Amino acid sequence: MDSKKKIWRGFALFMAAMLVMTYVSRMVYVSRMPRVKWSNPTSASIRNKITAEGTVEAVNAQAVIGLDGLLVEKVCVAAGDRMEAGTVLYEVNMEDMLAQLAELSAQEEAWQKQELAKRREAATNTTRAQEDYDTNVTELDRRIAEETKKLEELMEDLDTHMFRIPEEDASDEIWIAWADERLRFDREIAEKGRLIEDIQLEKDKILRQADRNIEDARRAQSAAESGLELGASGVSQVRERQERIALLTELSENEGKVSAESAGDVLEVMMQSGMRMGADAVLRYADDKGSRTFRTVITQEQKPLVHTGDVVQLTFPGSAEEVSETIDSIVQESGGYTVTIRLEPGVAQGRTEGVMELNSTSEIYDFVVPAKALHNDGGNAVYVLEEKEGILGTELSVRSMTVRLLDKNEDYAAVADELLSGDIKVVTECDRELENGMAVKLWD
Amino acid sequence: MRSRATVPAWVVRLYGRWRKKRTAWFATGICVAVAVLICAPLLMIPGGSLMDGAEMRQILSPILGDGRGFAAWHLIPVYPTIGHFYRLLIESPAFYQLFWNTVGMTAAILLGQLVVGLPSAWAFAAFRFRGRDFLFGLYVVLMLLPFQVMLLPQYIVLQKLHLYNHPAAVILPAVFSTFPVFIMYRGFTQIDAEILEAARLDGAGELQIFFRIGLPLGRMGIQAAMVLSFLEYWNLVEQPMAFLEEQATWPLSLYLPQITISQAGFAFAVAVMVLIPALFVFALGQDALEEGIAYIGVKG
Amino acid sequence: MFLLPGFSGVMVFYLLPFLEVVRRSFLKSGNSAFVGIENYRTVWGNGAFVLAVRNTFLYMAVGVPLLMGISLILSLLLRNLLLRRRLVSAMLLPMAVPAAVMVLTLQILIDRQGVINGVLTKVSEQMAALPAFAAIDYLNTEWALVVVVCSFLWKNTGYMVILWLAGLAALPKEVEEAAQVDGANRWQNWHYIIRPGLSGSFFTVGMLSVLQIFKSYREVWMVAGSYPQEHIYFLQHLLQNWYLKLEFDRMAALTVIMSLVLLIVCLLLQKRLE
Repeated sequence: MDSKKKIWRGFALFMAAMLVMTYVSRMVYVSRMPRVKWSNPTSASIRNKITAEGTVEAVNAQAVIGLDGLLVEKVCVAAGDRMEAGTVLYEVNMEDMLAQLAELSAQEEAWQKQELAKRREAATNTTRAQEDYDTNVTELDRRIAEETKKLEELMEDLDTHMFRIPEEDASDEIWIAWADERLRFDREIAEKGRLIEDIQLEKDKILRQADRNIEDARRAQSAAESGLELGASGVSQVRERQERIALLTELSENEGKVSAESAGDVLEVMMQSGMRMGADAVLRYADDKGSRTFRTVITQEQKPLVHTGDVVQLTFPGSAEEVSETIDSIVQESGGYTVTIRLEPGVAQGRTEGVMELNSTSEIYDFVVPAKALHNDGGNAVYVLEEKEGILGTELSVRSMTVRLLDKNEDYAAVADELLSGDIKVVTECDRELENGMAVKLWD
Repeated sequence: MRSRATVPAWVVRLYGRWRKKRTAWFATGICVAVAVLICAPLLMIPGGSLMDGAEMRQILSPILGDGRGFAAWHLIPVYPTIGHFYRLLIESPAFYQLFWNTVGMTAAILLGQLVVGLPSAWAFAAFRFRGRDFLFGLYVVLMLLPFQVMLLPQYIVLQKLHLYNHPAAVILPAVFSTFPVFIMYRGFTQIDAEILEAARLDGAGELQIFFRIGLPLGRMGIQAAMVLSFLEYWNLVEQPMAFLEEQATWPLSLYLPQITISQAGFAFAVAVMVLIPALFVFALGQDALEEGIAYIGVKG
Repeated sequence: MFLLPGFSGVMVFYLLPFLEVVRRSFLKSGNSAFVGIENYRTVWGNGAFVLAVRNTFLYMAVGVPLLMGISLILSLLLRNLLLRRRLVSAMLLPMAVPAAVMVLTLQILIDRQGVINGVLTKVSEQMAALPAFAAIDYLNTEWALVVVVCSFLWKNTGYMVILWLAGLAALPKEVEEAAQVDGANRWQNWHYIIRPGLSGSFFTVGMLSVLQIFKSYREVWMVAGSYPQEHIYFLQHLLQNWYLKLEFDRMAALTVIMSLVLLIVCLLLQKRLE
């Protein structure tokens, strides 16, 4: 009997232990269960606000060229500054400049003197050439006249001779003498003719020469007067120097201050005090009159919500300015999409940065759920809460349901699927990872 | 019978005793061998329940798909683990649900059998009435019919009674099973009829006779019937499978078939847990079983 | 009456359904048209039926005598042993094992690559004298029946041993002892004293063995499924498959046939042994 009692006791203990374990295992099971919150999908529209920071850029950046050779004394503006017409951009070192000016002025004077002398000389030459010409022409004309007169005399002689034609019965000797005489005349006339021609030719030659001389002289004179005689580079050199002198003179009148000529925003300052300027730009600015664009980059996720032609609000930090513009272009570039908006002149003056805001309200979707309800990399599935019959009775379990993602913003997502309905309980939050078919309980 | 040889009686007796001893040893040897043979497969169970998955897969790999070589078995696992028990006892509330289902079901059935079958057995044993033999014969036949025979008609009846998918669908038919009646009847037939007659003559009512005489004297038979019923219903499979659809009402015996050979370790752990109550009942009812059944075989 | 509650339940859950089955055996399932004994004819001519009957009968013809014989021998051996109780308890253990676990261990043992084949192969390798042993795929050959019978014996031997022991214990000891003193050897002991005394037990053990044969369907089904190897395809398989296919009319007819057979056999045996 004793052993029997022991057995009964053992049995009772076993059953008691099983009872305890029943609760223990239940507790373990439940404590490991994920907790979820749920909501029904609602019908709503999705509002998306895309905010992107971007830059305002000038389409054409203008440059201020430095004054070659001058020493910068002080730079008065910096990148980002606003400049108006007359804003002092920088100052040059006066002593250095004045020294340069003095030197240039001296050079100019010397040159001018030289020019004057040259001109005078040229004028003299021209006169002389003219005189020479006149002289020569007169001389030659006289000679020609002379010779012509002689020729005429000869011709007359010839005529006379011709009248003295021997009679037919004259002696051969007379005839021969006459013929010889005639020949002599012919010869002499011809010679005279040639002589006159020669003189003519010579005259032409001399005249041409004289013409040329005169031409040259004249040319030299005019060249001297205009300075062309120096050649193209020579002329420009002179001009440059003269311009420089003018510039430096003006500068000195402005106390060495160089000012802006038009209004705009300083983009870049490429000089510093103590620097000797070269011929390149020392300052870049965006002219107000030039057109500017606003440029920003949006991400892949934002892209579907942004379209060319959309109206966006642009604001600029530091100013109360707010404009509505339309998007001009969206271009895909490495890693993102560049949105460009052309700004009207006068907009965003003095601004280099801006913020673009696009608010879009979509159509009303049938099923909108909180965005955190989506899972899967593609965001194309949600967990649906269902009742499941199992050994432990009716439990809540989750089932993964694939859906099509129609639209999304940070907080909400619009989904669609044939099996969706307004009664479906979509899991919106869970305290640990869910798996398809898992048993869950409701969050307290 | 041939006559014995002329050997002194004491020699015969001694010789008889020695022969008995030798016979006894011989018999013991055989029986022990048989017992060991029978128990051997059972020893796979505790070992298997402590074997972790890797070792199990390794030794069973020929079966599991390797196709080459032969499976082995380690009676004592090389790397024992209580992982299966942990998983079963701490992480599976389903097990407990089914366990209590089984406990409840079995207890209800046993109770019902006592309430219903006991009086029936007494009636067969203590009274004579018309058609008793035929009825009893009917009971015996019903006892022998395999469940599949009754599957459909019971299904229909249960549907009509709206009991389908309810534990009662398993419990009620089992309560009215004729097997315990059979066993308990045997127990009761051992009681001398004279005692009953005497009691009746003394003016005792039938109920009194039943409670005062029948029960105490027949309790071995009752216990035997209970133990056998317990073993039968603790591992019952067909009826729950056919009539219980709702998993929450299943008994443990349906939990096991879901575990396949690849989870053998876990299955063995479950087996251990299922066996423990059975062993307890066994232990409790052992003598009753042995002695109670003594009453069964006597009268045909 | 004491009997009433029990009997009414039996009526409800067993007899009435049975009558319903009988009724259905004459109808066609589905439209419930009266078709007389057509269902019986269908069943009788069904090839699966013939196979199942043959197998079930074979199983019973082999299993029951084997079980009864082995358990009887064991009980005779155990009768007077001191260790009797322990040994018997040990032999009873398989009864407590849930079917699913038995099936699991069975699978491990009898699989083509299972432990038994492994051991036998090793043995045959060691003992070159024996012919080489080829691994047998037990479940899919005619060895399947051997497996079923063996597991049947394994499970139920203890049960039957107890029954025999009970029967033996009821024999008056004095008669046996007297006979032994008289010089009867064991065979005579058996033939004249024990055997007649056990006739009642014989009936019981026989009935229960048959019952256990029918119940063993559970394990067979778990191991081999609804359509097992043809040698272990039993009547219950047929019934269950028809149930699943909703062919209730045939089921009903078969049920009635089986019940009638059982009834007749039972009554005959009872009369003979009492």
